[in-house]
Amino acid sequence: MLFILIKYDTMFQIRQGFYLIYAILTAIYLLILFYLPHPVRMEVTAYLILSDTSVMGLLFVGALVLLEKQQNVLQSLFVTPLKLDNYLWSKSLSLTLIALMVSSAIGFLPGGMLGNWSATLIAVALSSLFFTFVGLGISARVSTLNQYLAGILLGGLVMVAPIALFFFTPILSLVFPINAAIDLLILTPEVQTPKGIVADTAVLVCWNILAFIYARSQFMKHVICK
Amino acid sequence: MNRNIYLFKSDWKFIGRDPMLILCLIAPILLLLVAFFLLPIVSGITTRMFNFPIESYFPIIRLFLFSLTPMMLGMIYGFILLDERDGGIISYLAITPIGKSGYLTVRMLVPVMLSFVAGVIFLILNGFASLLNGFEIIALSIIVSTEAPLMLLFLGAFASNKVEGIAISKGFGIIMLPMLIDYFLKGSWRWALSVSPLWWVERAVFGDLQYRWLYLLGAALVHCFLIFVLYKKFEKRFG
Repeated sequence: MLFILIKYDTMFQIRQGFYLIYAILTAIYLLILFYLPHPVRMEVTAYLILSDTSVMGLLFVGALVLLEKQQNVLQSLFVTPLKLDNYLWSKSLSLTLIALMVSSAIGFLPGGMLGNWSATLIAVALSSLFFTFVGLGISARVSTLNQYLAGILLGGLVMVAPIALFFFTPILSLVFPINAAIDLLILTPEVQTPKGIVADTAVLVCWNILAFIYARSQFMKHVICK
Repeated sequence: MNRNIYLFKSDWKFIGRDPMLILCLIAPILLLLVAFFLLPIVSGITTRMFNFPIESYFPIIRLFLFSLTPMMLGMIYGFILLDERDGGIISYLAITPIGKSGYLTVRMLVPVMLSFVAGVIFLILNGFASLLNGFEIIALSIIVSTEAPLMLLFLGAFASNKVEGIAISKGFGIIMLPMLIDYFLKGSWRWALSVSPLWWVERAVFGDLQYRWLYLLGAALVHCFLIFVLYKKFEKRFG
């Protein structure tokens, strides 16, 4: 069931131009990255991955859910044997697929992230899933696109704010998802240790569990039991 | 016109209810604060950490932030338009005395007026008065404020629904690239970027002084041409 859902979600995303727009953006990012000198490529790539591809699910999932709400697709969908968990996973995994493809292209073709490719893929996959779950939770409770954008703007500020903690307590700041993702992305292979990768991954997995529970509860409250 | 005032009034009620619209009124102030206070702080950090002061790039960064306000407002009003179209509200309004054209006029005028006021204040407070005279500041603010209907019409003309609207809005950043490329790179090949409306704006501010009014005229013409083409496309598709 989950694979069929992912397939149809991906087909819908292709039809709505998600892949086309990201193909164009990837081409522009590649032009910029190839133009940059090698020593700064890693930092710029990490910035692009963090600010765009990892969080793209947060932006897109709201529009997807709101359109389904407006077209009364959700009401019909949840009277079928479809499980809510599968619906949430399908949306998150299909959007994470685009995030992984774009991040791999801009991270590995110009070579900026080749040194720590495994940490990059873990960071992108787990951050994208996390942000998409958060987006799903917010989209369940709003009714217009602008309400959703306001919600993710405020939510985004709350999630980005812990970056400042890094300058005061670097180790403690890693318990926040954004800091763990940055740690995975920007540390060079010489500095990164397997223990560090496992710790950051564990932090992101925990936040993903919380975000999934949040998305699930919001859908139960505002969509299914409404 | 009086009929349209009702739509203006309902818009203001709508603003009170919609947090994004409150934010869109706060956004120009936030951008102003970023340009005025945050940039010097960031420059201090880059100087301390990388020995790389960014003071010399302040004018282009500030021009970039200046053109963001109308783009943001245009996008927000574009999303309202998509929401209302998806919900069938525009079809209802079309049979009222306001009509479709009245509706579209109000949707375009509000962000233009807000952008113009925000633009003039932004330019004056960020030191552009030393680069441009009063007439040039007003002309530049009027021209750049028309970015708002450009964004709105682009969304209205090409997006069939809000999902496509979000996908298209991701690409809006591309419109700003020619402005930055023109500032940082050299060569006559840059004229190829003149299809971008913001390229003319950047040239008008940082280009040869004796051609400033020609660049401003070019910027106005490109904006008007694009608005006309997009309006026709919008009418053809959803008229």
